[in-house]
Amino acid sequence: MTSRRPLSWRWLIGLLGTLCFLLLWQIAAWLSGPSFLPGPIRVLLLFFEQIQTREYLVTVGASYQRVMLGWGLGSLFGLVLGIVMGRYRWFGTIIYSPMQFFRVIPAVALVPILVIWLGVGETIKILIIGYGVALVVAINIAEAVQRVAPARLQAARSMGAGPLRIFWGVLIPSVIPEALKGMRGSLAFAFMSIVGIETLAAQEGVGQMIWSARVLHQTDVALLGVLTLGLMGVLADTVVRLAFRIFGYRFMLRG
Amino acid sequence: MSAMAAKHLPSIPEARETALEFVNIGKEYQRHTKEKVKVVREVNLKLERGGFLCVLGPSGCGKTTLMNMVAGFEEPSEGEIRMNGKAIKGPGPERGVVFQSDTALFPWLTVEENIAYGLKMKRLPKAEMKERIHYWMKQVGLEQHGAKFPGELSGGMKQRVQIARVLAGDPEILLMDEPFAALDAQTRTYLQQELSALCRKAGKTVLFITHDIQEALLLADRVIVMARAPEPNIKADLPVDLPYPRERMTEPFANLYNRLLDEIDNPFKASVHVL
Ligand SMILES: Nc1ncnc2c1ncn2[C@@H]1O[C@H](COP(=O)(O)OP(=O)(O)O)[C@@H](O)[C@H]1O
Ligand SMILES: [Mg+2]
Repeated sequence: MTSRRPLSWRWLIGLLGTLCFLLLWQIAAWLSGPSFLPGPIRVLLLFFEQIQTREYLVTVGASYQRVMLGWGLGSLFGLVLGIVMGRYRWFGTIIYSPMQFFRVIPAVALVPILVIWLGVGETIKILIIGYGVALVVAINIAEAVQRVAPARLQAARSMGAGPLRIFWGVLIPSVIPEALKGMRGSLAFAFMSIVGIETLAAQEGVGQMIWSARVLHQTDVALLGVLTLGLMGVLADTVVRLAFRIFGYRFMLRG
Repeated sequence: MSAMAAKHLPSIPEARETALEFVNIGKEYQRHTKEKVKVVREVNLKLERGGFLCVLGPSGCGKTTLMNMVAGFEEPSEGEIRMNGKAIKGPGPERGVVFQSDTALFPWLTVEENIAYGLKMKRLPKAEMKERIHYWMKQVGLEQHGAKFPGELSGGMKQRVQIARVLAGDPEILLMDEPFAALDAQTRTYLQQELSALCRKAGKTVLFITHDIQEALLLADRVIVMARAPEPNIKADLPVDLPYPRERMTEPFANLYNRLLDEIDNPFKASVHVL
């Protein structure tokens, strides 16, 4: 626990940085003309106008649902897979090389083949997001499991804990800090991949909104999409972090 | 034969019960280079019930390996370890282990919850569990700290939690692997005194590992000295017949100290003279 006082300072400096950035953006907009680069004021006005429309909310909701579902399911799968990989060496060894291979393959590269197999429904989008998330989380967790102190596992065993108790009561709590790190990292990744996925096949969504703005040269709409995506990401990350801090407080403690 | 023994040795007080017996124990490890190293060699030993045995030896001589086999974390490559006459198979709550490293505690559980961990698996009634937890927290001087997390405690307090957690489970045998090695000298002395008193009061059989001669002499009623390969494992086995609580600055203590110093293969051999 760091003290509270420096935090408020950092917050202020962060705000200052944001304002500087907005100012530079506005100046650039004035210099280049509003249809080439709309300024932050214009985009923010558009944002406040749009947020009252049903269409915009449906767009945001659709993307949010995809990202959160893909990320949540991917994390869960990655967590279990990672623990099994870390705990059972032979399984880890078998699966590690193929995973290293798949780790460098972007999810988007798998889109064509998945479209052929599954069509262009929601499943494929959630699958593609979940795929990347699961890989990152699993590798993180597998390494964390191997770092769990042998003495802790031995202590639990000698007090009579069986494999199941050790799994739920010792391994999972021990790797929660690493899990949070992996999950937060891959949340950003999930937001990044949503744009690509939605440009390929979606009726609605923020990615779709950004991409279709191109047709009518709606630079302000495109930037609104970018702004929306950023805000969505920050909001989701804050919620996840707070949830971990509130419900997982004790698991974030270090011995 | 027993009749003969009885006839010739009628006045010997009845031998004390054996709690733990090592029968020809050997343990081999494979190094990365594929060569095999025999870390533990031909250990034959009997521990009396209620006795406090210290295993003394330089680092790398196989002390932890020996203890891990008693705890059931590892299997001997040769021989058998028997507890109350039955061969040990795997870990069990009748053998409580205190580790050197405080990573053995669960950092997400409070002091009270850490102590409760083993008791929960024994399915004790709630009231008895609470009572035991509070009794042992009090015994180790942690009654004010039950709601704290291990991360909020000092090193000495964390080892107290480990000791309370193990004793609350009421094991028959206590296994301790250099539990005070990472503490500062002051704290170590306090904990040695407290442990000695606690164990005598509870009448537990203790197998205590250390590389510190003074520690062995403060705690044990018997010390065995282990040596590194290729020497035979048990180099010396001597009783410590000094009254408790032990005092360091006495002649018999110093004599035993020097004797043990001679036995340990210490490259910096030097005799210490007290008084
Ligand atoms: N799992 C293992 N694999 C290979 N060698 C080991 C293993 N555990 C211990 N050893 C070796 O056995 C020897 C004794 O180790 P240990 O019992 O930990 O000694 P001590 O506790 O007396 O310092 C050391 O040389 C160590 O490197
Ligand atoms: Mg050791």
